[in-house]
Amino acid sequence: MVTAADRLRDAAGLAGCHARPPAAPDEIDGVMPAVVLEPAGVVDVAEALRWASSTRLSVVVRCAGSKDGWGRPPRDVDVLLRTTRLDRILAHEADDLTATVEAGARLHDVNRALATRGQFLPFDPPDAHLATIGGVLATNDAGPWRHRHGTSRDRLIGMTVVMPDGLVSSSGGRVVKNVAGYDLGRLMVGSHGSLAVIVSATFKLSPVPPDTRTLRIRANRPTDVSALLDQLRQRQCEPDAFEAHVAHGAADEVVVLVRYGSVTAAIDDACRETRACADLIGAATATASGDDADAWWRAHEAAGAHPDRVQLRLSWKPAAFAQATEFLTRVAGDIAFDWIGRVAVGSGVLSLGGDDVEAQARIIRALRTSDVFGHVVITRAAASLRRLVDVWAPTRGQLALWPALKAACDPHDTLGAGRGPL
Amino acid sequence: MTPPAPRTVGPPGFLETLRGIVGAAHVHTDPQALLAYECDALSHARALPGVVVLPAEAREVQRVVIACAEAGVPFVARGHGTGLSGGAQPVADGVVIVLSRLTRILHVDLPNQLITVEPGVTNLAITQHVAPFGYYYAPDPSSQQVCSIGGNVAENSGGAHCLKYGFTVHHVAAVQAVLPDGRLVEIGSDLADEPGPGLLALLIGSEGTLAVITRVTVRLLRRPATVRTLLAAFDSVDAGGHVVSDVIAAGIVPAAIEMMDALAIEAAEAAVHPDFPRAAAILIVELDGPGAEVEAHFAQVLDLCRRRGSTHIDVAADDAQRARIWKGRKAAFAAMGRVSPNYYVQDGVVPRSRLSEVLGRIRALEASSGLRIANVFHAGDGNLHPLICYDASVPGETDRAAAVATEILAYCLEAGGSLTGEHGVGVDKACSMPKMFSPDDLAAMQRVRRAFDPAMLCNPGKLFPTPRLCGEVPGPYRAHATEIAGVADRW
Repeated sequence: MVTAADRLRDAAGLAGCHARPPAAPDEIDGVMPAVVLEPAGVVDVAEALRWASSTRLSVVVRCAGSKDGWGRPPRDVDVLLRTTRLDRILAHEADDLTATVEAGARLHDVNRALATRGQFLPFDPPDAHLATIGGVLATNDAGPWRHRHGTSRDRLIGMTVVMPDGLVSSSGGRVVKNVAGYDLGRLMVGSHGSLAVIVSATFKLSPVPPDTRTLRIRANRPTDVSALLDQLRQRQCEPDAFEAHVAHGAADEVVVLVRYGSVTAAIDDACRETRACADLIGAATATASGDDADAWWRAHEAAGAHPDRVQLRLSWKPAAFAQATEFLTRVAGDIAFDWIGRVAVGSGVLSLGGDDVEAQARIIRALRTSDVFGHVVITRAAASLRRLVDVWAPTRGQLALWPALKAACDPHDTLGAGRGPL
Repeated sequence: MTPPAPRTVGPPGFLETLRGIVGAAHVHTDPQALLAYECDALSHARALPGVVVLPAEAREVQRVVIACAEAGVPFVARGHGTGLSGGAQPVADGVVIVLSRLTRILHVDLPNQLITVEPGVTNLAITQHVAPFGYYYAPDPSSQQVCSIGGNVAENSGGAHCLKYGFTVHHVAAVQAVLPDGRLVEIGSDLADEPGPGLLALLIGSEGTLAVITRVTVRLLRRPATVRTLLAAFDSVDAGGHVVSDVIAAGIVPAAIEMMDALAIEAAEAAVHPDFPRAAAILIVELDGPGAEVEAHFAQVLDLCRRRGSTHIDVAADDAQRARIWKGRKAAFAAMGRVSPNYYVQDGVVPRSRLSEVLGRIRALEASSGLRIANVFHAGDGNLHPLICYDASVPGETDRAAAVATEILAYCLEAGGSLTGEHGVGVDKACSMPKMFSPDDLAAMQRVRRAFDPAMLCNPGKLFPTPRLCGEVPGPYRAHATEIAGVADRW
């Protein structure tokens, strides 16, 4: 019988991996790993994985752990590989609007550094102050910036990963336009560390807009939200973000936040147009910038992130926002919920209250089989609920391809400890 | 004389099986008919297929692939044959699956800004279909009149406006595809942000080596409120190159920045008389978006051009003038035939901040090699398209041009760039892949390929270096039929 102490002794031989016994914060969804490794460079990551895969150990990758609720309940975890020490900005080519960053670098720190040259990575997932580059990529998580800038997959131009057998592989490159070879980087985005370990990535950056302003619009009914969005399109307004918050029991009022970022004159025009559109639907409008606007955005994010509720990530048909609201209100019954998200994209998060896992499971199944919602992924829930309904619910296309892809990249099932998606 | 033995493809009964699927009229084995499919727009890379089949719909494509998989016969999917890297070059004696009969527009969903089409629909047809409603499909490869959307997906096509709007991969929501084992699958969906690894992004740009695309759903964009275009002349290529990085560093992302040098301008003038100023270099900068933003950025770009000593600036006053500028830009390649009997075209990419440096090296190479090199390219993306002019009838000149082409590629890679920005690897640059990727990088890609196609039947011999392929020297550029007809160009 190999004990955790044996594992630790073996791992101690891996120079540069900083092997140590686990502490309380290293617990993974209720499972304590045998050993924690904190490699500082790509060579160390490769050595750690070579050791783990050749010894048939299971490895879970984590950095800050801000998205740790994602995934199925894990099997035994031998190794927790923390990317905390892979935290460097390897290059910032400001004249080229690109940057190469290690996976463990915090988004917040990266953006502070990029801001000195008026640039940024336009990712604002929930808990952005904790989120790391590797975590954002591995989960393909996003926030309100998604409206204009897409997800991290859209901004990625190159990636270096280590495959479970220690093979170090780079794909893409450091230029914004490049079609040489398979796009393994974009493939890895959303794979939750189940195919390879992301070590570093290169992104196309965005210029920080010279000015920003937010409008808060209280729409009287969900159909008004779609009408507002349609009006803005007709008038060729180009917001940076267009978010809605639908709360349980208050579905007749939808709070919409619209943010513009551009030169001041363009923002003046856009805000004027937007207020005119809001007037057409009889919605009350307020405008803010700076700290006041930040407070609105924080409250908006917090509304979808009750710490003691079930949390789902989900998508919907953008034009069916009103039907989606009606459907959600009906299936939720008396279970409290908050639904926030990108109206024009059709993606966001839903937090579900209550403590009846059967009822919560029913709602999740209903959402998954509905005509308007889809891609319903459980991102935080009690293990009991996650045993009742699958966390991922892959599509038929995914079921056709995932097993072969997993077998090709991770033949000994080294990565993920069964948490999925692959 | 005995007549030539009838060509055999695959095991006995294979051709009959294909005829049973698509109908005898849509199965070609006559060598004369096969000739039309022996290459794509990389016209020097030729191979005669054993059979060409033209299915009418996805289920037929699926059955053809199943037949190939069962018979162990390699197959290559082909759209409209406008690819520039030989991605649709047949496997000798294999099957070519031509998708040009799959041309239906299946579903238009304007409220959700989506359109679903069959792969043989042309890029431009999509935009034309939705233009009356104020929408368009953003990627605009120069061959957009004739290239197929299925081919765009295979190659992750770009175009002049991908500087701001991205490539095919940024605009495809879903595809239906036949896997090499014959399974018909949906990848992606009408809904955003499908969880899990980016299978759709992997398929896009995989050059037909992972699946055959049978249906494509793309996102549509709303036309921007304002478009403004300027043309600025400079007395050095260097100055133009600096303006590109100045603009990017100023936080401006134009819709397009294109550059032409003196030789390219000369050729364009000879062909379509766009009335470009005689200069060492011109930049074409186009901005779009909300009016006030475009005006502010436009003023900044004008200022940056003047600071770098622009000798002449034309601002397009209306759509007609903008069209004239673009016509001159787009005519440059086809017009090169007027200044040189033969030329190589390249597709390397450099970081935008290194443009001036690499263009300087190319100029020095031009002087030392004695071969003229025209530059007409997507400067905003750093995507070079140097045209190396030579005369194949002069002994040794073809080889010299090939050596110059190789040298330029090395400059791009030394500057941290890429082998190809938009034309793809195909057979054309497969042998150069090891210059950009390590053996381990390529091994990881091969693992993924085998996950999709363990039997290696789906467009084999492309994208990755093979000993057979890389023992051969690539030939010179020859004009493709569509170029000669003037309906496509090559950048």
